[in-house]
Amino acid sequence: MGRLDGIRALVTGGTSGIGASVAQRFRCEGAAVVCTGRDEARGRELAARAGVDFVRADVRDSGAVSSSVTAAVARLGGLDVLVANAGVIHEAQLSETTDEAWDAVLETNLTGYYLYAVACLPHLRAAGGGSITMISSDAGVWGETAIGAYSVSKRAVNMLVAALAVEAGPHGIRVNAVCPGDTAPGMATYVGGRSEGPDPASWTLPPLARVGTGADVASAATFFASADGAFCNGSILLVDGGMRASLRASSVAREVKQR
Amino acid sequence: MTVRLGLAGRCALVTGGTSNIASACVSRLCAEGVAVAFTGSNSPRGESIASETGGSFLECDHSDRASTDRAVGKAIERCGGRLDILVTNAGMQFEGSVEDTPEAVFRELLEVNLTSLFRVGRACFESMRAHGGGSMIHVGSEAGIRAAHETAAYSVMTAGAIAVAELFAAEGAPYRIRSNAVCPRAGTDAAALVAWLASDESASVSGATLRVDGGAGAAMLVDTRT
Repeated sequence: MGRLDGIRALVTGGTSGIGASVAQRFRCEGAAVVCTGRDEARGRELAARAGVDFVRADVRDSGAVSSSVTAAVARLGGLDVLVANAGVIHEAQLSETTDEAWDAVLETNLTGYYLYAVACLPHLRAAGGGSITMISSDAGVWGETAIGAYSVSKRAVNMLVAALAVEAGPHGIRVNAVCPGDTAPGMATYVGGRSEGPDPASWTLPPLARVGTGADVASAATFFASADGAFCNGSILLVDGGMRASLRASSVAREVKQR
Repeated sequence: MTVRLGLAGRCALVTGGTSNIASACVSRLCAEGVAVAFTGSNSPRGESIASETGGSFLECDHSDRASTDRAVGKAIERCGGRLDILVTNAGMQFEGSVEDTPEAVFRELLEVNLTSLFRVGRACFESMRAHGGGSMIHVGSEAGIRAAHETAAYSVMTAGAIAVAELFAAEGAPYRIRSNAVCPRAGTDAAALVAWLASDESASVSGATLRVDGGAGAAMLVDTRT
């Protein structure tokens, strides 16, 4: 018996990185899953491999957002869970960030999450309740200058989660955020649009002295989507190995490795 | 008597300067001897504030990037390229939950309350870096610290704005650029704090988010009398 038996879930940006990990874990836990993504070939490959359904959609196109939600609801026969995950990152300090990069990051990471939430809420109410989990970032809890616009977008997402939790709660809809640290495969390995970004072996490690995995994030998303998370609403959960717990958290991991 | 903060001769830009909170900042900075340029979209009100305070009004629509760039360019040019103080307050309100916020309104709030702040800050950051530093003060709202779900999109953008203020503080530190956020509750006067943050009296204060609400936001107040 799975922890998500009978759950009908939509995962945006579900064809790669954290989204793919969430989709596969949800499937293993018994959920029926539709993933959205921009890459048709990758979507079809994942669909065949993991037994999920795929709908092509770019979150920057608001028409595509609503039509992908309609298509997902038709395929699943309703909707219980939205995992908003589709996002982009741009490596630059704010003072060096161009208008184009800022617009791309805010449009996808913030406006895209808002559009998916608003498009899904009526379906979640029709199902008698459900949950929305937004994949945010530890940079939304404590900013990172190297990824300025991304940090801003995730701080705004965390506030979106809080506002949605209050307005959707009375309908039995829980809204929460998962804030991963550096995760592989994940956002940090896709920097600059390259499919192979910086080698995780070179990353600064959190106190737990290892790189986060898609499975770590999928575990938190499963908790929020399942009955185990029944009283979590407006929760902002760090899944970062302790990286944001102290000013100098990373120095602890270095000591652990040197020992 | 007003405390003098040693700001005489400095140059400031105040965006959204025709609102009540920001016009109080314009007035206070002018009284301190600062050369103040301020933006706003309401020309008659802007001209009237200018004649009352001695600041110079720049008509500007912050939903239009070209208009914003022109106004910021003029403000920086007027002080010979050396802007010392930036106070950002431009923004709009919308009453409604997330679901009741139409897409066009959400996008407009993003542009006016967050993107415009980033773009004005970026331009002023460049001027301040080239001239040995400066102080940026973002006048936000308590809704950026805790959600105000009745004005959901405003709350979301204000949270983003506080992140912008913090990031500019971290990036600006090596260049003696300070950046802070001030979060008044509606009706409170933030001008004294803004003037202090603009001055050298607050030389080590950067990246701070300061509530100006008489303690209202310090903890939940549960009224057990009813």
